[in-house]
Amino acid sequence: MKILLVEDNERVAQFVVKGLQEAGHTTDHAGNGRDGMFLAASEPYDVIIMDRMLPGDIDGLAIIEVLRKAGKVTPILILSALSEVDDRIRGLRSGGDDYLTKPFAFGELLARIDALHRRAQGINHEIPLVVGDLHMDPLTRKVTRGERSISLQPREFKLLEYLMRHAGQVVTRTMLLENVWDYHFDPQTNVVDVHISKLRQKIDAESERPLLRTVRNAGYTVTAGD
Amino acid sequence: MMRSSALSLALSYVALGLAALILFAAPLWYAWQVTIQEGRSEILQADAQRLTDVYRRDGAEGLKNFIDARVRMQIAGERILLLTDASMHPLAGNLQSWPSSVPAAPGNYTIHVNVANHGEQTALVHVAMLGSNNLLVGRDNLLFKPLQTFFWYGLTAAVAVLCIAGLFVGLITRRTLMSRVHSIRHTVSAIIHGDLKHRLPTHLIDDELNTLARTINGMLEQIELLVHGVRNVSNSIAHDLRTPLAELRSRLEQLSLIRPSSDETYTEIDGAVADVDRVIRIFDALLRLAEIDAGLRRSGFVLLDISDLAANAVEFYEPAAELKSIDLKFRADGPLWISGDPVLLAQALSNLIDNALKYAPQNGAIEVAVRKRDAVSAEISVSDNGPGIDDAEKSKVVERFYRGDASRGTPGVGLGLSLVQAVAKLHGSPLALYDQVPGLRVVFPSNALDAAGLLRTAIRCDDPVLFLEHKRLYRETFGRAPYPGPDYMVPFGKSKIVRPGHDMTVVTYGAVVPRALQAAQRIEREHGVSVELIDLRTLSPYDWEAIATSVAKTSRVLVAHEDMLSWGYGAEIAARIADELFDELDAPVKRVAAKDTFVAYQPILEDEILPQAEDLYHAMAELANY
Repeated sequence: MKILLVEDNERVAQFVVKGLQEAGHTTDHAGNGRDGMFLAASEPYDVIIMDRMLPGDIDGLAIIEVLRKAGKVTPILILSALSEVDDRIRGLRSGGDDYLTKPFAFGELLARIDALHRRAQGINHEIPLVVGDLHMDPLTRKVTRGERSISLQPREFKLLEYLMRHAGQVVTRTMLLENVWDYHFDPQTNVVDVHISKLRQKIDAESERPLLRTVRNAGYTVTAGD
Repeated sequence: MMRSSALSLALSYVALGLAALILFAAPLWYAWQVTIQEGRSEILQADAQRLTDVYRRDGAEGLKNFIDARVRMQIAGERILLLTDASMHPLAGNLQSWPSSVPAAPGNYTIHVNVANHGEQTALVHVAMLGSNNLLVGRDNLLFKPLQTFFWYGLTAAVAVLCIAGLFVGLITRRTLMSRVHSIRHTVSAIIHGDLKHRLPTHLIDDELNTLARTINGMLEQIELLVHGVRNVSNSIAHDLRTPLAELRSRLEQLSLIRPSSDETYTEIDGAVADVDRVIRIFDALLRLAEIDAGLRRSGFVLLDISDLAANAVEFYEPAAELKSIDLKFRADGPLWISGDPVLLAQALSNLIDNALKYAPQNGAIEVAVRKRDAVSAEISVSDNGPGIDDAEKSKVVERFYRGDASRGTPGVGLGLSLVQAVAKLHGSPLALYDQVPGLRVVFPSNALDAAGLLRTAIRCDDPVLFLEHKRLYRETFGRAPYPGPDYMVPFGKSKIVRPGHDMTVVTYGAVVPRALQAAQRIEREHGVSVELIDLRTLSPYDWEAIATSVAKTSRVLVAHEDMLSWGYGAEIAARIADELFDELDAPVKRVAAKDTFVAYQPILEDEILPQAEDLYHAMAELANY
C-alpha cells in the first residue's frame, strides 16, 4: 500500500514511518499542512494518515475538506490528541473515514489502515464470504463450515461477518466494539474476548483447523492460511 | 463622601415631588385668581347697578342718603363707596377723596386706598357716571386674603415636608444600603482571598438586594463545588497516576540497569506498555468526566429508545455473565423514547453491569430493568445479589478514585460510578444507590441518645423502619443525655456494650437494659461476677458479631427482654447461640422474659408479669453458679 503520513511531530512520524515500512507499506511523510496538501492532491495514495493539529495556518481538517471538495476519495485516517466524542464527530464530518486518538497502539493503526483500504475497494453485501471452508451468505444469513451448518445469534453473525470481511487482517478489540456494537468507549473488561471465544466454539469445532485466531497484543484475525 | 445612589435617588424624588406640586398648584392658583376676579367685578357691577337704580328713583340726594346709611351700617371696611359731584368733590362714602389713580371714566381699576378706620387696602373699584356725579364702588381684596395666605402656607408646608422627608428617607436608605453593601463587600473580599466558604448575608424579606445576594450565593455554591471537584481531581490525579507511573519508571530503570536476556526484556516491555495503557485509561476516563461535567456533551443528545440501548448492553455482557454462571435478566416495558446521549448512556450502563458482574457471587443474579417514569423520562436499575455497599460508603463510592474495601485487588481505577453519576446528572437525573437486601428494619432504643441517633438513621434510610419506643423509658433519668448535634447517627445493626465484663454476657434491649444494668452492678458488688451487658439497639438486623465475640469471651449468656418467653424474640438468638457457638459455651443459654400472658392493667401484676431487676439478678446468679 502507498500511504501518506501528514504529521508534524518528528519522533511520532519517524516511528510511524518505520512501523509502516516494516509492515510492507511505502510511506511518504509531510511535516506540515502545505506539503501534505500538495502531496495528497498530486500523488495517488491508498490511504492518508492525517494529524489533526498541524503548525501554521492550515490544519488537518481543513486539508481534508479541501481534498474532498476537489473530489479526492482516498480514505483518510485522522490522528488526534483530541479524544472527546464531539471532536471525533467533527473529524468524521469534515470528511475523515476513521479517527484514532493519540496515544495509540501501533497494531491498532495498522489494523485500521487495512480496514480502510479494504472498505475503499467496496463492500458487496450480496457476495457470499468465504474463508477456507467457512462460508457465509449475508443475504440468507446462512453460515456453514464444510458440511456442518452453524447457527449463530444475530450479534454473533454480525461479529463473524465483520471478521470475515476483514479476513486475513488483524482486527482489534476497539474496532470490534465500534463496528459490531457501536460502542465508542472502553468497557474496561474482556467482554469482547468472551464473545470471541463463544464464536470460536461454534465455528472452530475441536477436530477442525482453527480459523479464528488470536493475535497477541493486537486482536483477532480470521484466516485460512498459516 | 462617596456618591450615594440612594441619596441622589431620594433627591431626584424630592425634585419630582416639587415639580408635581407646582404643576398641581399653578393652574389651581391661576384658575382661582381668574374666578375671583370675574366674580368680584360681577358683584361690583351688581352693586353699581343697585346704586344706579337708587339714583334713578331718588335722585342724587336719595343716593347720598342711601350711601351714608350703608357706610354707617358697615362694620368691616370691605366695601368702598364714594359719590362725588362733577368736580370730584366727595358727597358721600367712606373715602376721603377720589383716588388719584382712578380716572373719572367708567371701568374697573385696582387701587391702593386708605379707607376710614380700616387703613390701607388693595381694592378693585368700579366707576360709573351718574349724570354729573361720579360713583365709585369697590371691594377690597382682603376678603380672600386669609384664604390666599392659607394657600401659601399650605404650599410651603407641603414643600417643606416633601424636602425634609425626602432627605431623611434618602439618608436612612443610604445608611441601611451602605451597611448591607459594606457587609457584602466584606464577604466578597474574604472570598477573593480564597475562602469560598463565605456566603453573602441574606434576609427574610426578599428585596432586590436580597435576590441578588441569593443569586450570588447560588453562584458561589456552584463555584465552590467546581473548585472542590477540580481540587479533588488534581489530588486524585496526583495520587492515582503517580502509582502506575512510579511502577513504569522502576520497571524501565530496572531494565536499563540489569539488562536481562531478551526474552525477559520483552516481558518487561509488555509490562511497561500495560502500565502506560493504564495511565491512558485513567486519563481518558478523567477527560470524559471533565467533558460531562462541563455540560459540553449535551450536543450529543438525540431521541433514543432506552429499552433497546439497555437490551444491547445486557446482550453485550451476557457471555461474561454465563462465564460466571450469573443469571443476567433484562426487563423492560417495551420501547421507551427519551432524549439522551447514546454513547454516554451505554457507557454508564456498561459500567453498572460490569460492576454488578464483578461483585455478584458465582451463580448469582443480576437484573437490569427499564421502567417508564413519566412521559419523557425513564428509570434504569441494575441490581445484583452481591455484598452491597455499606451505608457509610454509599456517598463515597461515587467520588472520583474512591475504591471501597470490597474492590481492593480487583481491576479498576475507581472512576466507574463517578462517571455513571455524572452521566445521570447530565440527563437531569440522580444516581441512587439502594440496598437490595430487602427490608424492614426494626429498632428499639433504650435511651434518649440512641433514640436520637437511630431516628436520624431511620429518616435517612430508604428502607421502611419500624421504630419501637418503650413508653416507660420516657420518664427514666437513666436515658437522659445532652443533645448530640444535628448529625449524630447510630448505625443500624450495631449493638452497644453498656458495660464490659468477662464472666457472662447479657443480651437485651429496650426497657430491660437499665434493669439488667442494675442487676449486673448488684451481682458484681455482692458476688464479684463481672457481667458484660449488650444493648442490641437494632432488632433487625441484629448485631450477631458482637454477640458472638462476647460469648466467646464469657462462655455464659443470658438473653433478656420484655417479650414473652415462648416464641419471643430471644428464642431465635438463644437458638442461634446454642447452634453456632455451642463449643464456646460453659452453661446452657438462659432466658429472662415476660410471663406467657398479656400484661395486666394493674401495677403489681404488671411488675409480676414483666421481668424485673430482681429476676435478672437471680438468673445471673444461677447462671454464674452453673
